[in-house]
Amino acid sequence: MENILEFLQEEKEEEIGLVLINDSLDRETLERLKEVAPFDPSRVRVVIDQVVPANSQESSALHADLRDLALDKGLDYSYGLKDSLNQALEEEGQGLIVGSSPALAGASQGGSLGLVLDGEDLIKAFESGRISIKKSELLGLELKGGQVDEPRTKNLQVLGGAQALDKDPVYIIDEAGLEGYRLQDRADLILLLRGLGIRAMINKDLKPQRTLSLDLGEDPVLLRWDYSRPCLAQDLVGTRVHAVYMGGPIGGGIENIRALSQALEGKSLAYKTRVSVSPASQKTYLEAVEEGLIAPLLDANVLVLNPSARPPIQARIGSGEVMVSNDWETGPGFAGPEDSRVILARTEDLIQAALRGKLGPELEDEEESLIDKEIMGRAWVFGTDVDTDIIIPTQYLNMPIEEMKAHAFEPLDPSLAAKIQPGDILVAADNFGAGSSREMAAEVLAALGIRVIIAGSFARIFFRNAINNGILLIENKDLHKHAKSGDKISLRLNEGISHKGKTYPINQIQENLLDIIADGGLVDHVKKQVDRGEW
Amino acid sequence: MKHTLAEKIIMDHLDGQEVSPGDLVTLEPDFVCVHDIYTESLYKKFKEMGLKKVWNKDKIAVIHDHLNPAALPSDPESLTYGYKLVEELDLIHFHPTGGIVHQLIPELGYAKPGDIVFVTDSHTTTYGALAALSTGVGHTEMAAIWGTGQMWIRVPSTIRIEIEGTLPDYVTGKDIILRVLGDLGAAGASYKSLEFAGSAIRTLPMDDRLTISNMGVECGAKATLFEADEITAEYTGLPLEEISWLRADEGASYERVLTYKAEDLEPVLSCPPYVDKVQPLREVQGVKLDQVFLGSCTNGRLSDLREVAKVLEGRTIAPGLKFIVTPASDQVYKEAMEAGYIQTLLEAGALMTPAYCSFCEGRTMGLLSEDQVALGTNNRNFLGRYGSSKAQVYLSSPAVAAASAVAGQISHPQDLD
Repeated sequence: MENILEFLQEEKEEEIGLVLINDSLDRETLERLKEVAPFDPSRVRVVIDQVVPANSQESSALHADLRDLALDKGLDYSYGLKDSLNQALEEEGQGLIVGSSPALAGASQGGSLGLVLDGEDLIKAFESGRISIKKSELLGLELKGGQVDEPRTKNLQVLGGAQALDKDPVYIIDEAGLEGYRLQDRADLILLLRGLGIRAMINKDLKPQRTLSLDLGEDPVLLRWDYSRPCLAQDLVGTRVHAVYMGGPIGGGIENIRALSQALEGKSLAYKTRVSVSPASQKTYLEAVEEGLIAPLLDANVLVLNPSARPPIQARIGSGEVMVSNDWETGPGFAGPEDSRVILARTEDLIQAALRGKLGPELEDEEESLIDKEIMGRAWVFGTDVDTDIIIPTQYLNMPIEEMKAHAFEPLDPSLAAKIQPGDILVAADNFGAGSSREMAAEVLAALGIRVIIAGSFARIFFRNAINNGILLIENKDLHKHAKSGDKISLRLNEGISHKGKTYPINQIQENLLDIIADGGLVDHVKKQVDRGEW
Repeated sequence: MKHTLAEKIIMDHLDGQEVSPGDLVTLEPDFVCVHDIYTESLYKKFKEMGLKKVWNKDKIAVIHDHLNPAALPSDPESLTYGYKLVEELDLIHFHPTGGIVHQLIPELGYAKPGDIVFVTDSHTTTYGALAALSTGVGHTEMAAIWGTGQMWIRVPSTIRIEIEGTLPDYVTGKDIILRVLGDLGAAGASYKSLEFAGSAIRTLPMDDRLTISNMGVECGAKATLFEADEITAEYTGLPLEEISWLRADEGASYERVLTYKAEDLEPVLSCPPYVDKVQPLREVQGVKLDQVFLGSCTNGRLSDLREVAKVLEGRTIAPGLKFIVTPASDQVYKEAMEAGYIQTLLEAGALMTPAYCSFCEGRTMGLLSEDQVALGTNNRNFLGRYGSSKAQVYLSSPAVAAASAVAGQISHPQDLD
């Protein structure tokens, strides 16, 4: 549309490229639309994308009436499979795209301008195919700095500075600051600004008289429940996350689903954390299926929702709960009561929250500090003097460890080794690991995935061997008296051991030993030192 | 004495005691489960009873299958009770997602042939397909079982249903059970055990048996049982020799015996507003539909998705029709993806949901307004369950549901061009 500039700056009528009616429409306007003929049926579409599937009689009746409107007037109709914004982005360059969906503003880029209309304006647009709007002041917006390679991070950074902008003008964002941005990333930026009440479009040809410069900060801004209360990612470190939502026309894109699926492969979600994924469209859903991304999500207990799902409809949160979402919608009471919060974040934040149940600093390959970490596992309980011949009989010492581990505890119980699962915790009375210096006793336990042993005391050589194989050893004289095999044990080094509601203290562990254990054992510990040039 | 299958299973749980219909016995169940509609109530009753621990952690499961996705404002809080039960009582078998209870219990082997199983849900009769005596109870009763490991049950009399011959094309387990409950009526099997047998029944795949057992409760049945055979052995992975005792004795006493010729059966539907208002497909063809639902613990399994994919291959759903598809479990979903069924459904325009109770539970999922008409493969069409009490819901087999989704009206798969 050549005349976008004129259209915005003077009150003049302009021809509409596309009208999209969705189920944000109010009933009164719908009744009026039934009475009029569309200006051009091929340029008016009905898209059900807000409440899919219908969760009430009213929404269902609205859907049925919208469907009938489409069928009666020969309009294209879709239910849930594609939303208004996706449709608008597919028609890029269509000039004026108007409709009832709040997300249409995101189509204001390149040669298009997306306008959200209601009431009389929408009816007029539907009937005549023309619209005029009040003129606006146009201001240029230049974005400086920010996380250039990460569109979503950069978009959230923009919100920091954009807080202070005057809400009256229409801001023309210079494309130069948006290298590498796809259509969806640009739409995301516009929608996030819209959440702040700021109207923006992205266009390299429009040259406004004045340009403001926005310096983006270093840290990404994550929004709390209210667009007007942004805060920095660093200030939210440690916030417990109860629900994770990946979805929306941009958030539910294939690259995000892929990242989540790959990160969750073979892992489980943080305890009591609900994760939902809604693919951006039917097309995206199909791509995800064909790429094999869905099965790892299902195995990790993720709910894969239909396209066009939204948190208020299918991913609600409760009082005091926190959700992180990579979509653009939030606000007080958006997906739960007023004291619940939906924090708009990046895909990597969602992945962290899914795995850890909280927001935190960037996840590195290493896990969080051993001191703070909560360790949970199922117990196997033993008595006193469990010696190293019990742990692994001599005749097996020369086998490869993967075969050897099947014989662990054989003299005590030949079926035990097969029952032990990675993450299980051994609990014993005094003198665990007595006898031979065989390091294999510790190695088989590590190979079986035992990471923690809690005993009244440990025999000396075994103690060193276990630490050197990355096993955390804790002395406690009482636990073995109360725990039974099969019980759940959890512990935090700086708090204690928890079992059936009782807490048992943990003595301070030597710091140098913690370092070795945290590194996964002496081999990796020394290797790191060697890599650092220390030996 | 000669015994019916129900009597034999009950006797197997008593110490050599002989039983007859009407006897009151107390026994220990093999497995019990609660789902997330009742976890809060169960928790509170358990506490009120003063109970502190469960009788056997191995025999209890907590499954979230109604409130995940959390769609009502109260759902997030309701879900916390499942976690409370698991944490406070140290429970082992917990499924916060993964599928519908009546698919997970057979799929994961929680119910085995010869078991007695109670769940806080009416469609617990489902595992009768595995020759398990399974039935629903309320949450207070369940709390007591959790604490005591005991449950009283009155030995049911049995109605035997024999179907001989070869089933015509398009007559599925769904059509069989709808026909039977149409003939018996909503209370026709009240308190009784239904026992399915006959040459046509012996060839039925397990998924069809699960469908039949699932809906036994809709004519009031306490249990709906199939004898154990090679198909049972294959499904459960148990050797046939171990389970072959799960057959009714020759000469056992039945309250009634219904016999059907398989060749006389035809595709049927439940018509609104009663499950037992069963009419042949040919009488209701042409009814225009607003929505079609494929899923539920009745017909959300792999073979159901296969039938639907067969009908939908290369086709799309009728313009303006809502088509919601829900697999009964994540495992079913994964297998359906491997087989390409999901792709066919997506291309046809199906709205895929996670594996849970979905449309069937009503509440918030795919509700209908007053002039709307829907068809589902689920098991209930009660007044007002899906929104307006003036909305109309038909129940059918998966293939008929799929064909109707393509045509936009109730249709026979053979009539699609």
